Amino acid sequence: MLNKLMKHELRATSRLLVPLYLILLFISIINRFAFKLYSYSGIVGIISKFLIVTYVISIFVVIIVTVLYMITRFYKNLLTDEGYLMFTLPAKTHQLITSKLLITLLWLIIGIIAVLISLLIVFAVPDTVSYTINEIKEIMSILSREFGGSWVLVFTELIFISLLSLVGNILLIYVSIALGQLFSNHKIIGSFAAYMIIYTVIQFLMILMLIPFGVYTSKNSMGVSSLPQVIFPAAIIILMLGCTCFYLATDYIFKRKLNLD
Amino acid sequence: MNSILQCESLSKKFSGSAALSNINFTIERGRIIGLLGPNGSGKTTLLKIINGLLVPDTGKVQISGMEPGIETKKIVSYLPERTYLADWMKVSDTIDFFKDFYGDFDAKIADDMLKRLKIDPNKKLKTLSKGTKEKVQLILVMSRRAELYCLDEPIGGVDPASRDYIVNTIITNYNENAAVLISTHLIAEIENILDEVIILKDGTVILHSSVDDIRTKEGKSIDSLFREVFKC
Amino acid sequence: MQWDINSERPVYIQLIEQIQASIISGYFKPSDKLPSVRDLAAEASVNPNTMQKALAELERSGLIYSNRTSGRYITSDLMLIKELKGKSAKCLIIDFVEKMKQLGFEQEEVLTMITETIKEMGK
Repeated sequence: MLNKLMKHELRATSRLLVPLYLILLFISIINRFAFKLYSYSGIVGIISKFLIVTYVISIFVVIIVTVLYMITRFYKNLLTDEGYLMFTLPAKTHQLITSKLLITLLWLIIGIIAVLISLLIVFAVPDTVSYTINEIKEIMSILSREFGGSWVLVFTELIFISLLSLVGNILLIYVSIALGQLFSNHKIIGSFAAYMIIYTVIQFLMILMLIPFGVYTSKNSMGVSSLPQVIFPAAIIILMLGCTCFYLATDYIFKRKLNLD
Repeated sequence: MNSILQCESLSKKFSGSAALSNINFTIERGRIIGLLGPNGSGKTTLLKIINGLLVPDTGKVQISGMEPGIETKKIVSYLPERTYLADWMKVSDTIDFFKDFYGDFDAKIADDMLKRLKIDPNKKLKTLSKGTKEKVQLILVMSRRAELYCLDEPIGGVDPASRDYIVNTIITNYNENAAVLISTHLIAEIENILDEVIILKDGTVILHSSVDDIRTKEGKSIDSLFREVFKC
Repeated sequence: MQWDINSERPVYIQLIEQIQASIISGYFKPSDKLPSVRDLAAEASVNPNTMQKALAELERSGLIYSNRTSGRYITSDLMLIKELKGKSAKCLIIDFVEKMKQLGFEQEEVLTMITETIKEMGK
């Protein structure tokens, strides 16, 4: 059932996002040449500058559109008329949420990759590959210097943290939308309000949590090496807790407090 | 288990006012039941509860002995009053969708009905008229071999010839193991196919009786009785 | 067959009457096989349960019999059909005479009017 939901979700969302990314790549290719013509004067120069500006804007557009689209899709597909179809399918509410979460995550990752590829297309020179490899080697050696043997751990932890905060942000949006729909007349305003309130609370909690950590690390005069052992795992646990709370809350609201128009 | 639907002391309130109060009734398999009542009487709320889209405040509802959940959604086919299909889908996409998610969906029946109603499966839903979209939804819902069909205003926005076809579809689709619950205000059009009627007023059941009993006792059609009871 | 079902009276009673009429008129001949309940119901635009109820009642009265494997048949009992025809005709006549009385006609006048009118219709 989850697979079927994901397949359908992918199909529905590709309609907008695949053309969007293809257009980005197309603009990138054009810009590769536009860049070279940048310094020309006259019409050619103007057009090339215009194309470059368009390119920069399009990168932002791609990212913003991806994010906005996934948010509005969650709302539209589950909480408007289409919700009558989705919630009467023989699927559990958590499967509906998970399918959307995973596909949103997928598109965000694809979006980031598309932007990277696009930057490569525009700016890559034969040196780029070797330059990038050198930079990576440099980073790896810094990491192994600072953290001793455990730079792999750091790297893994950082990836986890990035993924979890991405997931957490998506779930935060989902739970805000779910909370918003509890207010039958002000669903959208309710969602925004919920988001802002929860976000503020989280910021507040993070500051509170930093205090004991600050005390702990200054007392024990630990250096950067304490990061992977203590701080990062703690962050991961906290992130996981947050994600789980948001997920369960969204599930509960959809299971017990659903009220489609 | 012969009763397919059982409602016991169902109540649901929305911001203070009761949409449903103490609803009790049972529906047997093999029957076609009319759920009648003016706007705001609670018909749609009741259908939403049966389909797991709303959780009642008190009481319980059982479909084939089970509370609303995945297992009941597998055997209940719901046609809501609104267009619940995504506009970008082609008619054939919607058939694939139903085939994918519902094990009891018979694509052959659906294709056949589309052909009879001269609906092109390759057209996107957004290019179809409202009436045609409603017909497509009805075809999808009736092509499932379900045990309970809940139809909310199935003949509402449709022309008279198509209404006849829809009524005919409900009859020919009949099987003794399933029940059909039709919520409508177009009583005159369908009362001849109803076995029983449940009439709701202000969230309570004011009458649940067989159509024959009403006609014999009152000597008039359900439509006439309804107009009397709900005279403005 | 043309079915004419109104909403004021129970459907199954109307179905019984109209099936009886079609047996009398010869639309359904003795020993004819009847279409299935489902087909008849679809034709009449009625609930198959109701059609079933009507057919069961007709079976009870002997006008229809069912063979478990092959379906339902009109009776071959010509006497029974004749009796039915007679009963239906009598009902029509009683109804007619009552209505004529309401119009103010006496019984003698009624008979004369019938004979005259039939002569006119023959021409």
